[in-house]
Amino acid sequence: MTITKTIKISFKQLLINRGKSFFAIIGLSIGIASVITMVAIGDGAKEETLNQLDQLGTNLITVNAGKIKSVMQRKQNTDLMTTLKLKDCEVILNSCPSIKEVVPSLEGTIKVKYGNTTTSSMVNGVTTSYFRIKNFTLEKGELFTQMDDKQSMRLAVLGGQISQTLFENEDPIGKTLLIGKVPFTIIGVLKSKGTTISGSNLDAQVLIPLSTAMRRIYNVNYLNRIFIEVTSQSKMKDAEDEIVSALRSNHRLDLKGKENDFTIDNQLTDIQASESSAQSFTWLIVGVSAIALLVGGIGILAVMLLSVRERNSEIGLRLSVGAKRRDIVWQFLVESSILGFAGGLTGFTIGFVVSEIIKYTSQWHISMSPISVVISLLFSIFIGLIFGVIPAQKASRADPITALQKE
Amino acid sequence: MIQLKNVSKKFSNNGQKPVQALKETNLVINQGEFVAIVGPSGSGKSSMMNILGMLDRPTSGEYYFENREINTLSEDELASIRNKKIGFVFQKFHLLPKTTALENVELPLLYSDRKNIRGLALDALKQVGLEERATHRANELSGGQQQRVAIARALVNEPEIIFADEPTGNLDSASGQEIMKIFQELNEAGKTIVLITHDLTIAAYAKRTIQIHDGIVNEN
Ligand SMILES: Nc1ncnc2c1ncn2[C@@H]1O[C@H](COP(=O)(O)OP(=O)(O)OP(=O)(O)O)[C@@H](O)[C@H]1O
Ligand SMILES: [Mg+2]
Repeated sequence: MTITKTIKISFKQLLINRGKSFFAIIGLSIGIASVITMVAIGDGAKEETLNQLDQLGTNLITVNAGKIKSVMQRKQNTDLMTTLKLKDCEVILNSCPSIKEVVPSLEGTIKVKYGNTTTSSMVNGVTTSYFRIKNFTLEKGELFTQMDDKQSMRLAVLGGQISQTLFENEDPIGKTLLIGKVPFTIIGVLKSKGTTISGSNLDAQVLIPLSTAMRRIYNVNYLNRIFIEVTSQSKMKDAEDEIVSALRSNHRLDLKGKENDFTIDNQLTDIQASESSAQSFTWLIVGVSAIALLVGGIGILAVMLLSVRERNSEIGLRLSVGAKRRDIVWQFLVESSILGFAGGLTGFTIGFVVSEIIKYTSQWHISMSPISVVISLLFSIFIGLIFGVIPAQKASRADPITALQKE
Repeated sequence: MIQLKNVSKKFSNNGQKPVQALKETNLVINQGEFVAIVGPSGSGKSSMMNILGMLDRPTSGEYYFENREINTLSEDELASIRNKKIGFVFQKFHLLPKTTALENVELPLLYSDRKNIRGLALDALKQVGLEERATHRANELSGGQQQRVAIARALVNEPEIIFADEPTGNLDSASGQEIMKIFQELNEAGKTIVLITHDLTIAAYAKRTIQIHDGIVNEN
């Protein structure tokens, strides 16, 4: 018997038993739908990460004072060190050939006030190159200059979000902001960038000249971190080594046999972190898929077994008019494969609709790749085939005589 | 065409006393015959037909179909003989439900390599006078019509022999007689027919009657 004939027969029988066919594919449909949706979310998140990295600049190294540990993907300072100084910036810039630019930074959280609105905000003292190497662009106004920094001017540039919090629809440019008790003039507002992969929100900070921060706000002579721009992405590793040895010798750590009193952090580690979280999400998807497909397969298996029992006299009749046992096997295998395909197709449709709904109701990035669709369809057929083996064998073992006696 | 030599059939029901449904049966049926096998319930008629129709094998003895001993044939070969040379008509019709008359008739052709399946099935339906009902579903037909569809299905692949087990058992006497007339016409056209019944008025349509009692065949 030819395969087209078998497919025709199987298709007809599935349509005749359409109620049961529907129940057979529910499980698989839901499974495939959830897998499709999860993969779309996962792929979307991956794309989002890459976009963010592009936005932040990919050849940045950050030197943090003290030790930094990652807790739940978020970086936390465990102990404060006061050993990172402006002098370190000079040393790095002068002794490390792979380095293009150095931006010292001193940050803290402090009360800021405008009119009647008071809020706690991150106030970050930086040099003017900060904006360039962190890929910030101005929404309005202007940035402070090197000259402003030298003269410890009381000027502030606001992140998009803090500007919104304090000023809502008012124009902040030229207004006076109290940082602690010190009045600052707002000269610029930055475009928003969203939360970074490492979890910090750069839109919520107030940026002021470094020297102003050191002298007038925090009154300290050390830094929290140094942002370093590397000449090219391929030099990241070299740059890191150069920085470590420059800082160790400048802090005389080797002489005292001490551990680093700073932590180097580069975008590469961020990528790795997000990759590893993407990896665990992938494993989650694999796990859910396996369970979903198993459940879906068992649904098909159960309905097919029931069907074989109920259709005993059909099988007996087919055998009596000359069907060979393998014709029966194939008929039921094809039936369950078609069920698998139908389940996959339904699941894909549901998954697609759900992904679209998520896309339009949440801020999530959703990305549905054609490959995952094709793979899930093929897999559904495969599941149908595999879970159809036992029912098909059972069907083919029917005894035509007893099958034809029953009614 | 058909020859049984000392054919016995024993059913060994698990645990219970085995049943000897056929005992040392000898029988010859020639091409073109119209034979009725009659006997009371439980006498072994269906067991006989199942063996003759190759749905079952004898426990002992030899069965020659067109001079080939069927014990030497594989299951697939038997299936192929059933498909090409044998037609069955059952008491309970055994049509596929929710399937049209035409598609029911096509069924044996699906397992053959015949071309023009639709046309052959229509011809067979014409032979039993049901071409107008071709697209009706089996369950929309009367009992007599369903049995005619079943006969068309038995005919469609132009078999040598038709086995009919109580074909009128589920019908009123008028439709039963119609069915018997069809068998008679088929036999006049040259088909070999083996009819199984416990009803002597039905058996009267046949040219030859074989009695069976407790698995023992008796011819008069
Ligand atoms: N599959 C089977 N297993 C066990 N015993 C069986 C089986 N089939 C038939 N028998 C027994 O064999 C004997 C003959 O049965 P068979 O069905 O051939 O009778 P029958 O003449 O066709 O009867 P009826 O007119 O009721 O159809 C009966 O005693 C029956 O119980
Ligand atoms: Mg019987």
